[in-house]
Amino acid sequence: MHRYILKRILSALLVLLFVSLITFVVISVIPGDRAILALGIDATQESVDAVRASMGLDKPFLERYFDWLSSAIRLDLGVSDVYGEKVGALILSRLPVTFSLTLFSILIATVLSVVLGLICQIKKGKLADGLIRGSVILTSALPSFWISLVALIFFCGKLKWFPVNGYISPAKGFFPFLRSITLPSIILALGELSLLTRMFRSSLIKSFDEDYMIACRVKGLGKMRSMIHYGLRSACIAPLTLIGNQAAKLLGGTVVVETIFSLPGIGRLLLVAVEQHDIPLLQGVVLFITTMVVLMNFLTDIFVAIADPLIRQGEGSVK
Amino acid sequence: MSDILNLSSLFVKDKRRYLLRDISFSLGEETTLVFIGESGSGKTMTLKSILGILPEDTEVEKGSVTLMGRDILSISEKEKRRLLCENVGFVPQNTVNYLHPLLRISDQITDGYTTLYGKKTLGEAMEKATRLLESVGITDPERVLSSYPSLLSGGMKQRVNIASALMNDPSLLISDEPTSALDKVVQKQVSELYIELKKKRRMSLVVVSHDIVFVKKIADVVAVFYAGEIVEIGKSSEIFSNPLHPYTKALISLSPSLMKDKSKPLGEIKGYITEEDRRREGCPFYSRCPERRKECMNSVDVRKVSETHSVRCVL
Amino acid sequence: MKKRNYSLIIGIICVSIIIALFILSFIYLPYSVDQMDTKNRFASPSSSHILGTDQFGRDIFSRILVSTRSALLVSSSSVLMGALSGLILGALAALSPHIIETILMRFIDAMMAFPGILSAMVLSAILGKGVMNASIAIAFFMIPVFARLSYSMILESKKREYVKAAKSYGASMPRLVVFHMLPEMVTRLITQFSSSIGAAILTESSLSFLGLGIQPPGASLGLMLSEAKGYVLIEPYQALWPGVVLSIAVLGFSLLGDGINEYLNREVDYE
Repeated sequence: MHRYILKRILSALLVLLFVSLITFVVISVIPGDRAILALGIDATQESVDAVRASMGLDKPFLERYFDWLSSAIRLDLGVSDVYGEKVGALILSRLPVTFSLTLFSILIATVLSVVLGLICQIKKGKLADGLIRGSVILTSALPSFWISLVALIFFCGKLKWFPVNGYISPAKGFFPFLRSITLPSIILALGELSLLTRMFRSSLIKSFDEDYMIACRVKGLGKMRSMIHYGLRSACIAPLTLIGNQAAKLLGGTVVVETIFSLPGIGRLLLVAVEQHDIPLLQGVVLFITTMVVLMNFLTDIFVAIADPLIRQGEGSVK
Repeated sequence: MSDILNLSSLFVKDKRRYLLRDISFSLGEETTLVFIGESGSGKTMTLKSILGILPEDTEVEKGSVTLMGRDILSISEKEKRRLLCENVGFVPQNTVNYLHPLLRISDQITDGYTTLYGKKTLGEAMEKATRLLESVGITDPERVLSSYPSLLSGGMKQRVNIASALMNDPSLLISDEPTSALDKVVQKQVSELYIELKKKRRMSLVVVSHDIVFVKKIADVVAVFYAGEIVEIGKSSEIFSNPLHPYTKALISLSPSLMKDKSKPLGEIKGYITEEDRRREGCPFYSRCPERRKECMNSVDVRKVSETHSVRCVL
Repeated sequence: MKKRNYSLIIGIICVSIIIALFILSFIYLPYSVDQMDTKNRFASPSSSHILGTDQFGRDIFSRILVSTRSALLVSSSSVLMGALSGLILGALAALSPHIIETILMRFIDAMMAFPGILSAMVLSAILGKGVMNASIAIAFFMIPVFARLSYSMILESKKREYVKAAKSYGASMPRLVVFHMLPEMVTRLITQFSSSIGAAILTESSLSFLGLGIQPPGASLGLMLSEAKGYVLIEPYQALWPGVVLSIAVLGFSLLGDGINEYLNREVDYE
């Protein structure tokens, strides 16, 4: 187990190094001179040079990378060109929105897919199974921004169940906050539903086919006990990894929904950075999101390893 | 003396054909019944009918299974669970996942007991499990109880399964080839364990086995299965000293330890059970039978040889 | 007992609709993409505008037709580019010595850590907006998917007996890849290809929706929805058809992928 964790940490670190390298290299080649962008086109050569030096743009490429990386490790991501604020502080101020969106949607998706997967397992091959499988494929194929628009028309426009625009921070009351975030979370969850339900369905079917379910019947255990204690247990391991990966992906995938529902999250920050060519902000946000993805995947692997005694005892086929 | 188990003309079929035809027998208290016959002859299917765990696409067409005086085919799922929990223990073939890979042995061995006597009895259950594990030959029960199945060898798992089946002191222990898929030495140990269990415990046993030596040692009654039918059933002594059905004769002659002249090569029954055999109106063994006659093509009735011995053959 | 392959049937129907629209856009285009009819803004469907008009009085049907062009062109070219580079990268990793293999695979993992829309957004910032750049941006996030695919396929088939046999009589490695491993890969490639096209169409439209993909006055389903967004509470109708067509496209290609997979695997089972 310890060896497995150590190996996993090392490989995660290597991935992070590559992530930072890709981020830095790719974003540094964005056309346009930041110094001129900052000063305007009619600035004198001397002042441009001075600004370049102050931004560290006159140094060789590798040195700039290591400077950036070492301050990033110290959680200093520089100052945004557009906002004139620290990138780290900007990200932190936007994080609660994106984080709660991700958390809620993955929760909704998980609960729904367990329930749907169970129904499919019980009604395997029957009409309900087919209907559920068909509809989750359909809901996941619908583009989130289109569903968002349709949802806006119905739930916010016609029925007025949810506020049309804007985010209410939990500080101003938990329920208004929940109300402002429910619809976008559900829409994000719909996108995850197909993959998760299919996964739960197939691993539930596999698990309920195993001999230990016969053991339950022969021992005379109650139905709920055998279903939850025996059947669900091993059916959860494979989807667990998927849930972790999808949660990580969602962190960077909320931008469209944030835009439609005017939620001030990380996605919107990213959009501003892209549109305004704000390089420190862009690098910071991209590095943050990708680091979160790597971290989430790492934690998921460790969690699965703890949940699965085969890996825990070093007997499984962990490579 | 009341019967523990009674099957009367049980027919089980799947979508295409009969898997069991006209299975009847009854089992008294403290009796050991052994099923013999080649693979696919319906032994395991009969066990599954008794336990009410037939596969999804099969159904009981007619007949009845009476366990402890209750008709298991007509009682509710809940009553059936209760009945099995209280009276029956089951030991499977040594399969990979009969024990849940993600649950500790202690959880799995005790939950039948706590289902019967309530959650508060977990302490008792653990004590009992420890004692039982010791009695089935496990020297360090505490360690086994706290392990996951993946850490145990095949033989250990099978001992755990046996102990688990004995937790509620069943009146009937059902075992489906308990020694198969184990290596030779362990096979012998588990066989001996069964003989010991039979002696010490006041319960009936239904055992499926391919090991003729073991059968001779443990069986009170032997039922010979062929293509979903019981072709001969009788006291162990009757079957082994006076086999009547040609299939029984062939099967017994296959056993190396029963052959006096060891220089002679082992016999074999040519061919295998075909789909046609299963569908035929008459004797299913017809196409392979060395002593077949014309009348075997018609349906064959059970003939009682003695009070305990009957055979399904015209001979 | 034969079960109907519904995924394949529905997938083929949906994809055929999209391809029909694509072909129609070349032979019959009622209005040009940017032809405005300011007197007829937000027109309801009529004989002159069968799906009505948008906020500039442009014909929605014509714009949808042209949008299918950009959707199919961007998605197929990006998947082609991404698949080709990804497959080569993965094959390289699988056939390299251990250290290089590890480094390449961690590099691919690192690329995986960029969520699709994120890398497309960043790349569009670098490359600028437009059709070609959108394709390249989307291709980038296809690379790791295909790289992992070819990597795992090669590792699997390396273990197969016939490859060992071929190696023992001295077949060279590139030859092995082309003649022995490639046929096996085709099934999984086709499946991946089809569902990737669905994903690429979705990303293109998201990118255009955010204003980073295809630029006005060009037409893209995402762009149309983005324009409709401003009026969605007053003129909800405008958002209907682009969304429907987009959904058909995404659904069609992903179902087609599933369906083909099911179909080919069944064929293999019969052998």
